[in-house]
Amino acid sequence: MTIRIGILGDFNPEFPAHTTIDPSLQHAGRALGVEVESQWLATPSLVGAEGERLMAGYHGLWAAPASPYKSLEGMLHGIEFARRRDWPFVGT
Amino acid sequence: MGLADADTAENGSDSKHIVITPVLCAVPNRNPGDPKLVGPIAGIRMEPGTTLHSIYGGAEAVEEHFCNYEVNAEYLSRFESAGLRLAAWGPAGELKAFELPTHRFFLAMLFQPQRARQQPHPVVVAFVKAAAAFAQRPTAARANP
Repeated sequence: MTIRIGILGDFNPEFPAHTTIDPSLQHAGRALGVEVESQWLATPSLVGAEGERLMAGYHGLWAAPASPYKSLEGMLHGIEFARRRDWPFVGT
Repeated sequence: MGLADADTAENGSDSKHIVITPVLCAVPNRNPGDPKLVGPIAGIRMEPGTTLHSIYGGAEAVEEHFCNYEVNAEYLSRFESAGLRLAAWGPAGELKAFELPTHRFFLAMLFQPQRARQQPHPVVVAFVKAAAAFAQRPTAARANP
């Protein structure tokens, strides 16, 4: 089974803290012998019930750095979703 | 914490409760344009009894940073009262990470394990492990936790 990780944040290919997330997940997956797939979820897409449906499709949520976010509301909603629904979460 | 107007200094609001403030002890000899905390910072200690402490096996860590803001120390006890576990400390006694002890896996930190030269990083391994365990739970429980 592929482990699906949703990365909450607004991807910028010039930020090393962004471009290193998927490789670090792949390293961890190899160490554990599991297949990992990650997808960036832009902060405006995390708002409201639609955002919750989107995030519920992942097995873990990683809040990426680089504020200000396009949607602070979306980022806060993402973190709140993980907290209230007890989803595996890491924020870096 | 029950602070409706809690805010970060970055937003420049007139909130009375600025819980995130600029970094106090900046890294010396930074390049122009660098944030206050940049590059590897040594002497990060994990609080005994936390998930982070067990992830690191109790060892002190060197971790990559890239940030200008940190938790306002005046609010630490309020964060704790609200249920956050203070989990890691920097060399000047500043908070580096917290976790939610009632949660299956909820860690937040100022440093960036994804940027560590040594991979896999134990925090990322622990996170993927938690996600893999979560993926195994019955689908019904996923829909109605």
